[in-house]
Amino acid sequence: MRELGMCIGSFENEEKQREITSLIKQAGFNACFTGYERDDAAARMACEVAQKTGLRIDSIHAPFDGINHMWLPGEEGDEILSRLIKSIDVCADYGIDQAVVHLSSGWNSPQVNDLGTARYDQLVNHAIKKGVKVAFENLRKLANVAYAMERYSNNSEVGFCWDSGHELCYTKQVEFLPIFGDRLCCVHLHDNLGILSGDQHMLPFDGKRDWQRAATLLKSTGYQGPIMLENGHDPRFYSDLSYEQFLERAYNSAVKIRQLMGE
Amino acid sequence: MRKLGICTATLKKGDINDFFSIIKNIGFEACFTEAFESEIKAAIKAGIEIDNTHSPFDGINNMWVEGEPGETMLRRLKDSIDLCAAYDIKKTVIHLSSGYHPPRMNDLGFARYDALVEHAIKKGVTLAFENQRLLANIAYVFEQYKDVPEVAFCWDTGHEICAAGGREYMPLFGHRLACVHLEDNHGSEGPHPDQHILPFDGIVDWKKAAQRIKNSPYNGPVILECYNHPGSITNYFGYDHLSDEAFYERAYDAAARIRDLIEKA
Ligand SMILES: [Zn+2]
Repeated sequence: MRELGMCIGSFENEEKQREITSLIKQAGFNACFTGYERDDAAARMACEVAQKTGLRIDSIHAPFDGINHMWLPGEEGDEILSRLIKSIDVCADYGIDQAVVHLSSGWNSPQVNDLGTARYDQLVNHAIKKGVKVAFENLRKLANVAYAMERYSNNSEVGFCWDSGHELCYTKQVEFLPIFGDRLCCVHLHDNLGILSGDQHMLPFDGKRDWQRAATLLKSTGYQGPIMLENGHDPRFYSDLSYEQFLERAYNSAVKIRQLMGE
Repeated sequence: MRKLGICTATLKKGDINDFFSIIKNIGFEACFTEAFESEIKAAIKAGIEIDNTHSPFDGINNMWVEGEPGETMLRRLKDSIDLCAAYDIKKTVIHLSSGYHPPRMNDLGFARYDALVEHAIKKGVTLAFENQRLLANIAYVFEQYKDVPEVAFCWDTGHEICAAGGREYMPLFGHRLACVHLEDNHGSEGPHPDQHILPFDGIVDWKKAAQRIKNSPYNGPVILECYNHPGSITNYFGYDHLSDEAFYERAYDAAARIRDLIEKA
């Protein structure tokens, strides 16, 4: 049966990491993705904890703060590239199939150019060498994702990560699954109210997304991976729920999506 | 009521003045021409409205390649804009690449297209970028020139179904629609899928296409980009056995059907 997954944040304190991870497992999830928002050691610790807890790590979310520098001259661009490369290494070391990578940030991000292309080429080449897949995620722009899919069209190590919430609040007129569904290898499922730039990361069915359509499109791509949620216990929406109750609600929403997929 | 039109490229050989007099007799009122002054003059003489010109695209991949051929291509495209301006033609259709594996998008090509767009703005001519096989380059255009009203979309109905892997362009760029290339084919199979046959002779869903046009800001003519080139792929529908008049009558009927569908949509 298809796995159900939940993202796990990265905590400074290993005990806290363990506690949160266990609660996710106890809620019924059997897969997860972890992040690389702190440093290498924190990312590795999160992976170890997740694996010890018995959660399969479907992907690592590669770092994305400062991602626009990938397209700009200067050390900051080299720095983010080296962090991306390190996150690929973490995947390889922990037997994690894929890393989710961003291509830009914000509405006025730099356009595709030669310098950034060279850096992303380096990243993809590194991933190929390490046997790790790079999943490019949809954000506010279409051109850079299309560019990545076309540039690496012959690389099975490059795929698409569909973020349902970004699509709803950033690019309402674009349905990414009919366009890049044949490259889909990863999903970030969450909801929002469909307000421009309102990337609220609500639980599925708590926002405005048509989940029947999402499920139908997902099914039609042949995607085999987990129903993976990308939600946090956001006090703006879930302050009346304990963390356990929030996870229960999250789990039920994932089950419901699986049902909508006819499974 | 929208005018009905057909492109001059429909005619492979023969006299351009005869072409215009035949299509005019049948009832066509609009056209788009190649970027040739002779065609423009003939259209004006015949009293056929020129909705846009089709800028040159042979060698278009050179736009992304260093060297003289790229500079030449850019110059030809600028000349094509100048030709529009000289005859008060408001729009010209531009390609971004050719084939499935054109040179990758790069800084040089971006700079050349920037120069082209700048020239078009100066001349008051709209550039309508046409959908072909790829997505990234045209998506780039609508992001890069998001706030430039002189940058618009030309929707080619046939390219979409034979060369774009099932992608639909109107949901993405329909809000910028300024030109249409209405034509049909039988999908991506076979050695020459881009058939440019008449609407309703292939597999385009014309009802859906009409709905998409209706939903867009486009209120220009219904213009076909279909060919009547004896001995070519358009044999497929036995067009070779039709007289020129019979072919253009069939074309007119198809265009009129699309107009009806748009009106009823
Ligand atoms: Zn065309």
